Amino acid sequence: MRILNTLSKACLVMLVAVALALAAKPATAAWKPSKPVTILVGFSVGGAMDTAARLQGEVMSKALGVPVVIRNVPGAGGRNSVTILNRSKPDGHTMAAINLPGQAVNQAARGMDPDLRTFTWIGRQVSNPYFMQATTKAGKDQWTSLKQMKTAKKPIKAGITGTGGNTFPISVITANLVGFPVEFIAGFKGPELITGIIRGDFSITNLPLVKRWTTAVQSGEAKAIVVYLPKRHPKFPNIPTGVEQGFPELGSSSLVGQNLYALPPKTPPEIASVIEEALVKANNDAALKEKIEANGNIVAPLSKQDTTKLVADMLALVQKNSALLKKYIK
Amino acid sequence: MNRVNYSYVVVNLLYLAVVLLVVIPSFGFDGQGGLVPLVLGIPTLVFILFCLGRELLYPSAAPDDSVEVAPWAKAAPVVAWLGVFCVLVLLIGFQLTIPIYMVLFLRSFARLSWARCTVAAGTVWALVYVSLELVLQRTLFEGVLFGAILPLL
Amino acid sequence: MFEGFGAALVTIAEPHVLLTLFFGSVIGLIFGAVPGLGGILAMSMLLPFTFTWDAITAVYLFSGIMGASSFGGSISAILLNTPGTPVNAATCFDGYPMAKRGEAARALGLSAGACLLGALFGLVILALLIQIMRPLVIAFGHPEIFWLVVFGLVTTATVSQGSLLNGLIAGGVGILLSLVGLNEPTGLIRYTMGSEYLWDGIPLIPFFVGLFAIGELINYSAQGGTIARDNIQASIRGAWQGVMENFRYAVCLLRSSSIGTLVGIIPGVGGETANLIAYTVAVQSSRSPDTFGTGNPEGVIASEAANDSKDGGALLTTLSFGIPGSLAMALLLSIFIMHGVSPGPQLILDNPIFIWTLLNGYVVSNAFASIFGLLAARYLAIITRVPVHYLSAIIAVVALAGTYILRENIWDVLLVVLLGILGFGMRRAGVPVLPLVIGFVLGNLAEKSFLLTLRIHDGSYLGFFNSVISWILIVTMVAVPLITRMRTRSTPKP
Repeated sequence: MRILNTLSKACLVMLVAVALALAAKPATAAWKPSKPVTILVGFSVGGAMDTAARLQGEVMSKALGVPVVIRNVPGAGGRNSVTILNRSKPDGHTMAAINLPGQAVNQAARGMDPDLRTFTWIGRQVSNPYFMQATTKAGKDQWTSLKQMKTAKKPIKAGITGTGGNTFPISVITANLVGFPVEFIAGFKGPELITGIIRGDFSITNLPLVKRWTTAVQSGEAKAIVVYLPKRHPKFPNIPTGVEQGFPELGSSSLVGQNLYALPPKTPPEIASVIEEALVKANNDAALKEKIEANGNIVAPLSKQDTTKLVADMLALVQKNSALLKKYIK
Repeated sequence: MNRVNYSYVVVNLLYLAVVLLVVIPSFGFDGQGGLVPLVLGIPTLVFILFCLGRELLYPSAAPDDSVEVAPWAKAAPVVAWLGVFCVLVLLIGFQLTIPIYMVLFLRSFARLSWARCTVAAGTVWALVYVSLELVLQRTLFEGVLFGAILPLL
Repeated sequence: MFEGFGAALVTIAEPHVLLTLFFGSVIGLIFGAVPGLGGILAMSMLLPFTFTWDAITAVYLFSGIMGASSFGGSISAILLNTPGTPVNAATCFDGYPMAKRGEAARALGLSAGACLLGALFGLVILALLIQIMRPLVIAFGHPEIFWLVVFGLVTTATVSQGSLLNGLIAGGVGILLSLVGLNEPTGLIRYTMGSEYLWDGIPLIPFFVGLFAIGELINYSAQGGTIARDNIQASIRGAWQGVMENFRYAVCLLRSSSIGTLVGIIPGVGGETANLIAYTVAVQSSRSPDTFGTGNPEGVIASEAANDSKDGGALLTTLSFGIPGSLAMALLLSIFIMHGVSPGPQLILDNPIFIWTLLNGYVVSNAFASIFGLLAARYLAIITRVPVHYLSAIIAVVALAGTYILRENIWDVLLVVLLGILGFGMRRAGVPVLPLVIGFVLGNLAEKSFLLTLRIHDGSYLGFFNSVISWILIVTMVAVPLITRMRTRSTPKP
């Protein structure tokens, strides 16, 4: 009787053990996507974020074994990708490229949902350093250095696209850090910022440091004042940094435009790891890096942890400047 | 006396709603945000009220019996069919809606034979599927019943 | 500056170039004709494939798509009152009434001729302007854009077909609708009633597809029969006659091409405005403005010539400044950059052959599209003789799926249907659609350039009047209708 009892107990224990092992099995096996993975891009085709996503998507699709599809959801300065991602299933089949600090403004200064810190951050797509250029149009206020700008008596007119994307927070925060009075004129389309600076519609503007936005500088119709990087950009060695001009805070990575990849909130870590691995493969592809960097973006891989920290840092910086940002947001 | 053109009245009431939705909040904007909307909105509002009043009191604007345009009674079923399409797409997505809608529409509205309905529906579905999903690699809306997410409204 | 033109002509004769252009043209035609899709989508889909090609071949492919998509869009605009792409909106106004009258092939011929000749004229105008391109672009600031757009807007009164008051109301409502959403100059999010969907305003393509395609679909489905009402037997003839008619209206063609080129050159003025401004100017300068909207061939010519001349202008600005003037140009630019060609002021001086190659490619793809149009017109025109029940089911499905694909937002589909009902209601009520569309497309740009001019000039209204171009535009705006009216009065009506 006793033996039977012991035997049945043993059987029970074994059964439980087998059941547990069976239940645990899926968790130990590497997760694989079962259908195409979608990358949400909050901007139109042909832009820096879109091009990089398409290029990286090709490599990632080989690593993941399923097609990677780019879904452009332009509008609201990139916000659509954030709201759609937030409501997507955390099953690894939807991820998004998100532009910061632009999206941090919606949260920290506009008080909008969702909290970016709840996303499962994967890594960096590209970083997008910004630079300031000033008009050289005769008869207009002309600025040549940050120190000189600090002496401005009346607000310096700065052209921006709007309060949506990255240009706005970067312009507000840098003016605040350097300490010059500024007046924003918003509503220009990207190309109009170049014709505007040539025409002298405004004195300064901040744009991503890529070739297409430096044409006025090349032709001498504008002067590059500063690049927001700790060191000079290897492709644009003539543009001085803020550090050189005595404003070390302008070298902070929180001031660089960052396109970061994220998965929806509460994505299981094993799924996030698989996607991260695929991204790392894309980032290690030398030919791909060359293509993406051809127009000035920088491919600088970042781990999951560092990306999460960068998001928190950027939110904190925007939060610190939120009073100033709110002055221009209605 | 002429009859009142009710289509004209309804369209102008719709216009009135749009103009009021723009004009009323515009008074609250500081700076130049309300300038253009008010400068254009107020005269438009006056014109609409004038036209509405004129049509209701002295109907003459345009008789509601144009031959060029179908009467509402005939258009209503078409509108209803479009509504059916929207509801079906929202619920079960394009992939299923397209053949179902086409068969039902062609059968009950156009009174075609079942065979013709099926062939037409199958051809259009295949065309949409091949061109959008296979060639362009776009995913058509899958329907909330199959787990599709509605974007923010 | 003309050095390189001949050399460029030679390269285009190479078989692989012609083949690429042909392939691009076919894709452009198809994507242009299906409402909602458009050339941009085709280009973005093909972009990854072209990364491995050489720059020139890739650019040929894209210029082929760009060149042909506008004519493709005019096919559905004429046959089905459905602008295939937003730039074909004005083509519906007179093209579709022609199709209903049984003149579909003639209208297609008009469009095919206008597209090719518009592209050619655009090229000639550019060749003349190429030296003063940069100063011209710079001279067109926001005050000038404001007057250009107002020029288009004042026409809402002239094109109201009957009641002036109804036209003004529709124009006003169109402008107010265009103001919905985030207003960048003031930072305000206006009239959205808390909806995030409306942040970027009412989307343009659903607006067109709803108002035109679905509005008309409700009408013809309810009526039954076929689209072509009269003269059904003749509807497949007349394509060649249509092409030749372009020469009869040479003034209109030339004027519209110049407007198209100018609008293309100015960054910040979208491509969808060129056809409407050219159309409104055609109405203003016509001796019989009331025939527009009822199937006046000049309406089709004005719209399509402006469409196909504008891309050359945009191309040159993109290349000479290195900044993209439109989405299509942004795509083109990313190809250049990825292939190590850096666009900028030096490109025109250092590498003229490159620019001519591109412009020639653009004209050749237009020629492909137009020849196709001419050959296929009689077959395409058969669509207007197909029983509408078939058409209505197919068009509802294709237009709604196409609209969805563009932004992948399901609410766009609902919006299309609601606007379709409004569009039908407007037809039923005898209220003009034209001014509403003109107001909607131009309104937001008018307000933006108005506010920016004020901000740039520290709130002073003098900013609107301190350039020669502004005065030219103001004087033209006042003079054109006056002169036309005087001319109309002095010539006795036949």
